[in-house]
Amino acid sequence: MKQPLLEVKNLRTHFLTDAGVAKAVDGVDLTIAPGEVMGLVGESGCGKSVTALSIMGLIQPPGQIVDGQILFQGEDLLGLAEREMQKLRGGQIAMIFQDPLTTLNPVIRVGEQITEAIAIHQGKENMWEKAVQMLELVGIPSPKQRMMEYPHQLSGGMRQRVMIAIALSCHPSLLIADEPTTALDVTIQAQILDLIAGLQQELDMGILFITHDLGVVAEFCDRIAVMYAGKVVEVGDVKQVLTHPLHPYTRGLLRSIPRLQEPRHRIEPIEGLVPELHMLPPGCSFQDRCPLADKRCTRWEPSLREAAPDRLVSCLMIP
Amino acid sequence: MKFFFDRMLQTIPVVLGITLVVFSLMHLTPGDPVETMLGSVGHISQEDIDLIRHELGLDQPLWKQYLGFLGGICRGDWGMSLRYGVPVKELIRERLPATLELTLAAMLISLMIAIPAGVISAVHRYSLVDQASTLVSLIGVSLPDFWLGLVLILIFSVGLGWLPGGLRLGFEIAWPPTTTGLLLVDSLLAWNWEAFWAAMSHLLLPALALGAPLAALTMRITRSSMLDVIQQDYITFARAKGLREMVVIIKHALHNALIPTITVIALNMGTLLGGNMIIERIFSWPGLGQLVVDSIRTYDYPVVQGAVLLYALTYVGMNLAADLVYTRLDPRVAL
Amino acid sequence: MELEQAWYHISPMGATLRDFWRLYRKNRLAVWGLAVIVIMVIAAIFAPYLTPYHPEKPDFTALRRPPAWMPGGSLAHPLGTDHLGRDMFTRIIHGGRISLTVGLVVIFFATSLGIILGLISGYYGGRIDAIIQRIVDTLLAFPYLILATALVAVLGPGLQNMLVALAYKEWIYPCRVVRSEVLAAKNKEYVEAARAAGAGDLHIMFREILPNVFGSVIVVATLRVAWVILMEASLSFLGLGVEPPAPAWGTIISEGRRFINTQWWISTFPGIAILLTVLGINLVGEGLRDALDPRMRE
Ligand SMILES: Nc1ncnc2c1ncn2[C@@H]1O[C@H](COP(=O)(O)OP(=O)(O)O)[C@@H](O)[C@H]1O
Ligand SMILES: [Mg+2]
Repeated sequence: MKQPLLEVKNLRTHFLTDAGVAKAVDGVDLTIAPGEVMGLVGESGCGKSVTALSIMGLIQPPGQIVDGQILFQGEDLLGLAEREMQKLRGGQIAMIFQDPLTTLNPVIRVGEQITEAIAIHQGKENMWEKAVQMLELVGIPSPKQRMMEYPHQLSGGMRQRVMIAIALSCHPSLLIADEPTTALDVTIQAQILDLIAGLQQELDMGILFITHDLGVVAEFCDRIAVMYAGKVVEVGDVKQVLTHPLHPYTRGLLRSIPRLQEPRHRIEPIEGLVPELHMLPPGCSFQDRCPLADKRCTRWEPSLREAAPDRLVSCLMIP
Repeated sequence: MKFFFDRMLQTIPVVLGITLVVFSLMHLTPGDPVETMLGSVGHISQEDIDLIRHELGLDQPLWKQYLGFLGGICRGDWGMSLRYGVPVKELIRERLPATLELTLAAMLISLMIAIPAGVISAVHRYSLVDQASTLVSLIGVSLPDFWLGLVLILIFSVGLGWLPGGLRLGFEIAWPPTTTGLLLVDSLLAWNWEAFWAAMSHLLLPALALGAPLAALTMRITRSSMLDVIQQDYITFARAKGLREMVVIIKHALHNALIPTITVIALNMGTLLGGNMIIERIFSWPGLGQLVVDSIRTYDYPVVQGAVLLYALTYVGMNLAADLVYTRLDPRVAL
Repeated sequence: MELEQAWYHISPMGATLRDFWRLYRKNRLAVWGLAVIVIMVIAAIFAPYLTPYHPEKPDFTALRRPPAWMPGGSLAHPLGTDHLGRDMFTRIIHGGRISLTVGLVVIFFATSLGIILGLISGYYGGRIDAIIQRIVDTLLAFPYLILATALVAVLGPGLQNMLVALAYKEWIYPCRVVRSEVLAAKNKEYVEAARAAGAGDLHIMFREILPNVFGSVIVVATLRVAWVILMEASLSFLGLGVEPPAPAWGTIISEGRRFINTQWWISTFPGIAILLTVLGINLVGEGLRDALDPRMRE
């Protein structure tokens, strides 16, 4: 196997709050090959965004990466100086966010927001033309005018495209997309997904695609990682995992999505609540909600291991 | 621009209200205003009183007096000083530059200290620097400015002898020819460095004392709005582009944080204008504030009226100006 | 959060106070502020019994004595004496009586007026609201101290006139707070319910809405006391407040100015008293804000 694009090993990112230490990410393992689209799913609050920001090196106090490695093309990002990390950020590794309404700076013109990114990574030469090209590439009509406008003058979908244009302006080899379509309405959501898929082909990027929409994952991703309470609990090929989920949490997740064909089908959400992150029980974090759990689960913490070919699962009850 | 125009229209009733309040000041006096005014002069015959009443138009019905007052203001006739016998406008024009120079200097100093301090505090939240500047600003808003002025004089003038404790320019230095009335500008125009430094050294302490409350307030507002802005997604996104932290903070965060800050500063401009009276008195600064206090002492009501009116209108003007800056800073408002 | 806001009309009194204190105590500085204020208030109340001296009677045998720790000072006059031989400590604690009284009286009247006008303005809206709000805007345009000075100028100096001069503008602050709270509360369920039950406007305003906005009113009133005390000191400093020989802090500072080169303590100590009092009240105000109204926090 060739060198992975990104390899996250045992990442732990904790927040030291008044209420205690919130272990938002507590032992995440992830591997993304070049040009591969990895879906990262899980309930809200399970640590997806914190994982993404950790990779970007953008965790702010009171958050802190306390353990682990983040290897990007073989190089450990956690060992890099801030200066070197800045060169990677927006250059080799780019990120787009959930809410286009809050992600563009409201008081700076669109053109300036793109060109400043280009200027850092590619120099100021031709940056204006490059920016216009990028806007064209993401399908923004009359891009030259748009350059002079402020974010509030654009629609939500347009803003999302601008954000994508900014992120991709320096041709990153890894794109982290944190729920890029969640805030958009359905038709625009489809357009944006098509756009990202098209650009992915064109630029041959690896993507870490964070979402909690399993439908999108099925359509768009090559592989999937399922997260629960700060840990990855199952990893594998998308089709394999979605058709034959092994981890009880993944099974629960799949049961909880409504089927379009059967509108009256009862939604069965997983029982119980995500446990409080700063007072996780010993043993498996899923024990309280798990239909399979027994005494062993309260004692030993499971870790990811190969439970089937090309399938990692973190559960004591899976043979 | 439409937004700004609307704001202009909104101030019209306020300006009318101001003139009404200022006009009514004269008529709040318990008893006859003329008698109160002349009370200090000694015995005066009834004819004289009637004559003065007539001259001041006090024998006419109130609404007529008000209209006359309003018309006078619009025509630029702000009445005559009872004490000096010269037009109020002249007196004010004479005193205005000193006050303007002091106020502008105070504003400049306080913003130059407070905004960076607020930014640093917010960026290094809970650090020692943050705690120290929060404490200083807490003290700053609780400090009587006149006392601060005295303490500054006590330390830097009486104690250390570094800076003069009063007046705009020492007696030993020749005044530069008056063009703007602002000593710093005038001395620069005349290329008179000696006067410039002297003026500067005289200006420093009163400007500090006058600006301290505003600085304390500005620091607190800047800090809290920076804290708010720093958590926004667009700041994380700016960092994700690979921008240096300095650029993120100044270009992306501060610009946004200044928007609410400007409004609060403008609303609190009154502190600066009101502080004038006190600080000018302490530092023997020959400005408008001193004129008001002296005129109150001598019952020179037309001067008091004129000055109070000017202060209020200035405050309204400053808020309009702040709105203009606001529309500049925030493109969302301009439309 | 909802629970915290609603404490004052749900829980029984004992639990209420305990809850309140639990929230208030979290703000360390606010506890210090409270301690300072309690000391100041006690000193003001018992001022005549705390020292053997009279605050206004000159004592020509003890002119311009320095504070106790300086050469020539003695414990008989811990903070020294002024140019008329009056004990500084005595004058300062008596000055606290004046400042605290002015602060409380002005705020009491201004807040009462502000509450009534704010309720009317917010509840009825329409023309009456427009008129009240224009008055508020107009008063807001006058620098506080300048308006107060001008008013004292026409009314004449003295305690009573100073109270009027300060309250003249002061009421607009509670008024604005109450109005905006009323606007927010007007369409809440409990108001609708009262209306449906046939309650009159007065009942709704004072019995239903007012208790719910009282937390914010207390916070504003507290913070404004600090401001009024500063303004009282400023007026007294300008010679427009309480007339000498009454020992208002501002007056003492003003008198001491002439001796700043030699007897620096005369002007310095009353300033520290002002600073401590105002700072204490500001801290208490912020503590109250944290405890009573979490939404208003900066
Ligand atoms: N700034 C922060 N301070 C404290 N805790 C935080 C912070 N950011 C995130 N967390 C914690 O991390 C957990 C995971 O958050 P996040 O990664 O945003 O979840 P999601 O999977 O929905 O993206 C949250 O439940 C929260 O407890
Ligand atoms: Mg998230």
